[in-house]
Amino acid sequence: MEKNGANFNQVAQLVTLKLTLDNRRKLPNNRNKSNAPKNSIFRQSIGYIVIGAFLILSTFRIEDPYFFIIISHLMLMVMNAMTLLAEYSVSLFDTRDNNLVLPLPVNSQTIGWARVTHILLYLLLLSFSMMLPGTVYVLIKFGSITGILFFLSIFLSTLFTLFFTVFIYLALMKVTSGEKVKDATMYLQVFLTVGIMISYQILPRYLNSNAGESLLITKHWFFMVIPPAWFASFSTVNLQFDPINLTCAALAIAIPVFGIARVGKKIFYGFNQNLQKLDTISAGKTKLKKQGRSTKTSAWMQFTSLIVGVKKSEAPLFKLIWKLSGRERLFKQSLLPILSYAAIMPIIISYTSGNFSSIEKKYLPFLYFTIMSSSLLPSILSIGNNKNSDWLFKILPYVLPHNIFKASLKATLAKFFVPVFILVSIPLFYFQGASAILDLTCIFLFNLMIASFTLYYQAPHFAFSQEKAATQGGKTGLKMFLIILIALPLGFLHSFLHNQNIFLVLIPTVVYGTLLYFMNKHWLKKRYNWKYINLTNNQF
Amino acid sequence: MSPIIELSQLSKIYKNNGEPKRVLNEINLSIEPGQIIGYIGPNGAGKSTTVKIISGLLQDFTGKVMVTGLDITKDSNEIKKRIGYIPENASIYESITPMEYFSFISEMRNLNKAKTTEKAMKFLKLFEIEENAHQRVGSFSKGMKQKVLIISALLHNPDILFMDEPLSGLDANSVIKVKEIITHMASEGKTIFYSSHLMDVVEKISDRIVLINEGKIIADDTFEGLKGADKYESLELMFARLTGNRIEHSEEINETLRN
Repeated sequence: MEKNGANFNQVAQLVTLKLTLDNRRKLPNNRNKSNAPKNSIFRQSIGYIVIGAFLILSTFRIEDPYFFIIISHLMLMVMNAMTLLAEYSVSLFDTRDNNLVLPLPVNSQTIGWARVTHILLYLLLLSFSMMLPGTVYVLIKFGSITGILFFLSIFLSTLFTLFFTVFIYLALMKVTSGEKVKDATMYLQVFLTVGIMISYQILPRYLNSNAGESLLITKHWFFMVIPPAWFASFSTVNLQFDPINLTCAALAIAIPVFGIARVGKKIFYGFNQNLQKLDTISAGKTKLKKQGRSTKTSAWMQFTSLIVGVKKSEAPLFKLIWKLSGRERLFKQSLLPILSYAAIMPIIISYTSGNFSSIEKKYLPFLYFTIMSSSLLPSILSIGNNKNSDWLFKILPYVLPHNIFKASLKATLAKFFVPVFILVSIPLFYFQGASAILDLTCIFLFNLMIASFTLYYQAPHFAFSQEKAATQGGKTGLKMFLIILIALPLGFLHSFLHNQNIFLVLIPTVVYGTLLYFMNKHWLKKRYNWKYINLTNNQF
Repeated sequence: MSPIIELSQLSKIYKNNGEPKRVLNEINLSIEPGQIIGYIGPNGAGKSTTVKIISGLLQDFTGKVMVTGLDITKDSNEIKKRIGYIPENASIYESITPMEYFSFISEMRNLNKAKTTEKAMKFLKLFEIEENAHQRVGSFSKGMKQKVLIISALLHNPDILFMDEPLSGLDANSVIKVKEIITHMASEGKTIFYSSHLMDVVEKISDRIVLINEGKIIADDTFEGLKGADKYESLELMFARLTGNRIEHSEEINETLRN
């Protein structure tokens, strides 16, 4: 660290400060105030151990240690990358403490190292939690040396994922400038998300097709460019001594270490300036949009507002949040990766057997994966840098509190979820023709119902008013896992009803519609009163 | 004349790490229409809490608060139609533009959109930020944000204006303009509740000064009345004496700086 130009003592101080603030920060979407951050981390660790146990259940038939470990590392790296992109990009580019840190004699490398170390601590906790069942399994099944090497490889793999992501981000910041930096980092998130999900599907499929022969013995030269293969080779280096395995094992150590040296020395240079850029140019773009574009936006807004059922009393709030949601960087940074998953998951998961006919057969149930975005949207909606701006909603007359929250949710559903849903609906129209409307109505209502239920059960924070807490970084991964567990059975139930008689789909449609009606008409109104809201947002 | 604002036995307790802390302690206050009230006190005295309670932002309190003859706990929406509120700290959504913000306010308050836009533009011109009308507030200085908040509180021509440190971050010219606006509104029979710790402005514009310390009102009179027998030269000196502070700290400061 010192060799890379960072001041170790300052890094330690900065990380300690970050961790102290993390532990004292009020958690968004958490109604239990007592000792919340620590409890939250503990619960997340337990959650990741459960995920790890599920992964063992899905892979325990694999007899080849190399195959088992490469799959484990692939899952770990995907989970880490997803968490990094959706949750910790915000921590990396956090500008909240600029005023505190930048006036001090602290160089870019020190700030960069402090940021990465802070994220690494959380990421390691989640990684080791998720891989704990796997480590125990490897120890028992493949021997103690492989078990210990596997344990070490978890550290190396986490380090690699972190520095690789940071490297790409910072390299991008170097080649872009001004306002484009923020847009570029956001679109990079989406690009990486899609790329990771596609590779996640391709690699296991390829390995599975070669599973007849032992992967421990049969390796190809191109394994040297597949990161999970490096860590699998490192873990099994005691079992196989062929040149490819040894080279891959060496890469497992060399690349993360080289990554640290490279990122630390070169790329962190100028990190301070980049943070200043992010902070100062935030609200820059000024002039009104061209009239034509504005009219198109307005027509689209009107159309989507009809789809999500905006009432007259909600219209001004709907319009406001629609506008703001397109500009709130923290909110978009958290939402876009999730939206990308929701957009590509149905097609990727249904493309299981490597041919397009499998998509037609399996696409319908996997459309339920769209609830990834609709169910997470209410909690993501509260994320933003406008901590004290919510007084606005309290001072205005005519405002019933539940309408503020409903209108905010409807605005973001209309702006972000509806386009994704329309996009994923296109293949179903292609497969089924007009009858797809019945299925899509049912799934859309299910999404709205899930979004309303999530809104009901979470703490009542106003839009874009809550800081993102590093201690909650692993929560999205856990929620997504839980969502998959809910979505899959319901998706297959829908598909079953559809196959029996398409009109049977009306049964869940009516159930979801009724629940949605009661939620909007009565339950949200009852729950969201000023007393409850002020109790949770007691910031004065 | 019946009071436009009446506080009876108003108390407020916050919980700080589970420990209750009494911020307001049985405050009684009666304000007539058309008055400019200077509500002053040291940091943490309870000024902002009082303003937030009277303007309906905080509801968890004990005692009675009547505004325009209505009970704030029962008719807060009716009261909010007739009041304007300028918060401290210039808190406003960073990604919004002033005109979008005013447009939202006008829709929420059921105002005539064209008239509100015209009025907003005039105010923006008055405060010399008309060129920033379509820029996002995030790029504004603290003073510019404060100007936007002041304008937004005036758009509906409120009967009562609550101002919590309204001059924070404003340049000298803008301070003069705000003072003129306040005086003009009072001349039209509007009530101004001006909370601040900037004594010189309070001294110049207020008809009546209410001094709060540790949650209790410790003085309530005109400046001349408060001067009384002690003949304080300024409100600052009177404030220091009434809140139990020394006026000179030069020795202490010297020593601290030397160390």
